[in-house]
Amino acid sequence: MRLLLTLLLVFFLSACRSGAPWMQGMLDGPPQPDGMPRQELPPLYIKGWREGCETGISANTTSMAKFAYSFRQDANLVMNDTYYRGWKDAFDYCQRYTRMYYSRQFP
Amino acid sequence: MRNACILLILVFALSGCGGWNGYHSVSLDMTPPDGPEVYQKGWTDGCKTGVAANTNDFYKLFVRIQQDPVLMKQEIYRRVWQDAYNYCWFHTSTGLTQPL
Repeated sequence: MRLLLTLLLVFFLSACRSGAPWMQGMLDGPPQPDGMPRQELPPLYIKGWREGCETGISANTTSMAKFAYSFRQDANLVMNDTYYRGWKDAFDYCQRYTRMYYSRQFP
Repeated sequence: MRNACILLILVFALSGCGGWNGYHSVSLDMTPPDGPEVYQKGWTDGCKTGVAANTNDFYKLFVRIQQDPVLMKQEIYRRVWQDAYNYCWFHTSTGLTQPL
């Protein structure tokens, strides 16, 4: 019985993070072309990317995982073009990726 | 055994807490992020509009597009209004189609 409850707890808690394991790398920065060196991006762009991506995931994930993610945006940086470009790029990319992941027909 | 069954039922019942509070999902925090007043106003107006665009006909009687035409001339208000609108629209849309 304890084993069963432990297994159930593990399954439910696994829903707290959204999507497949490889999707967690989305928060670190934009996808890099295979075989190419990692592109150096301004720190403000990366900060905007991270917050925009979390916001995008929050907008399109399952109801359970929505409690783990939320809208994130630095109000003092929203007028900074570098930060905002990173935020918008990430929001668009991550919310669409998450949406398609959860609407896929086959695993 | 009885306690385990009660616990299991409770867990499934509480998972429904990703449900609805009036016209928006309980998982949608309608509190605007910290920031200048014009930023918070833009966020609130945009989010309410995004939710209103996705709610049912009954609640559409009470919630409408909210946009301050004077503040729309300010870039910060315009940007955050659009961001909040998109976020809340998708958040509400996903809540309708993916209950769990």
